[in-house]
Amino acid sequence: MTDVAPDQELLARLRAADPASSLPPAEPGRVTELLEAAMSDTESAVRPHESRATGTHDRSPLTWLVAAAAVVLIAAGGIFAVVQHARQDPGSTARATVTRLSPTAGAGRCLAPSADRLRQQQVAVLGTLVSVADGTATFTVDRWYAGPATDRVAVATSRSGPATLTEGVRLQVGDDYFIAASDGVVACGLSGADSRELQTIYGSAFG
Amino acid sequence: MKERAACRTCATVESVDRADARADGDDLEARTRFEEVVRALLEPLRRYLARRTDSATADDVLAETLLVCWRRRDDLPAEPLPFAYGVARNCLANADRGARRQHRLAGRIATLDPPREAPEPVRDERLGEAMAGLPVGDAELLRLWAWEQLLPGEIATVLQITPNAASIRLHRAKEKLRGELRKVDDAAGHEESQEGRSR
Repeated sequence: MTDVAPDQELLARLRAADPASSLPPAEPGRVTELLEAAMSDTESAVRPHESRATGTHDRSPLTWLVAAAAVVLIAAGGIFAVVQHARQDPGSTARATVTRLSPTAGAGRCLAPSADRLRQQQVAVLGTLVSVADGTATFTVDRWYAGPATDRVAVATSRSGPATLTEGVRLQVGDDYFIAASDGVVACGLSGADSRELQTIYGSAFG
Repeated sequence: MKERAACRTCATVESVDRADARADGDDLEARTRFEEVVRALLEPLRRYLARRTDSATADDVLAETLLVCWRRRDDLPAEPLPFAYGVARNCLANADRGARRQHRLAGRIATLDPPREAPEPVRDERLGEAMAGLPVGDAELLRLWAWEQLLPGEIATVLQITPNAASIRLHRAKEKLRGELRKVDDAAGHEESQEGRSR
């Protein structure tokens, strides 16, 4: 790569604009306060008790009960996901931690994006595409604007051909996307790669 | 590090008999070790938050971040700073979400715009304008690169993406910023020449 010098130039310009460059150090008293506040947390005081040496011997029966319940839930979640997947249900939206959406049906024309139209959507989110596999594009969530928050958003995509979010919006792992949806269907025009235009619309709808 | 360094993960910490845990030697050792780690993390974390939100929120989120780090002290890697930035990022996102619930304005502004109560305002207006023209994720990558001075592998830890993706996205973000800066400079140059003519 031959961009070392321009990189240095860019870096120097950004650093010169660092808003925290003249932040004074924290007062020693405040540091002690913060440390004490964190370490006096009682919820976690049990954790040092358990080490690699003692392993799981000291865990209470309740812990095992909770763990067993978690296994059952995870298994149930897996079965649910498989069933959902098999059905390709276009109306499905919510699991506990995943919002499942379908792409815009058909090749209809997209309506012009507007803040008013965006406000009417049940789900509005900014996410990063982390994977496209088995007909599902999975996003981690950076911001929730509307709808019940979940950890991930999954959008059904074509199994053959390029993965798209809506008509004409190609998906690329690692990129950020605004996604709006109603009734489990991604809203055309209001969903797409993170761009100034969509930032403006989302900003005015939810700002 | 697959596990999400999220604020909310702490909610699932086990609850067992804790009466004697505080007093024993393990606990004291853990506290001493944690204190050493945090003293090295504190200033970078304060700067990270000061760059992204107002001072009151920064203070709250710092306390929350340290709390999560304490609860997850067994998960802290040998190089804990990128991990701690990841925790702070999630805590800040949660704080933004909470604030939005109370006031629909709050969240987006805190991450999109330069901090409103930052100790020293950004004076390079053209750079500020160019950064504002970038997708949110790209601008954040550049901040992590330039301000937090992280390498792509460390940025990957903060953003929970692969090092390869971080590297590619950082390269693209730099290109985009250069493009935006050219646009802003061109526009400014055009305005200046017009002003010159009208005089």
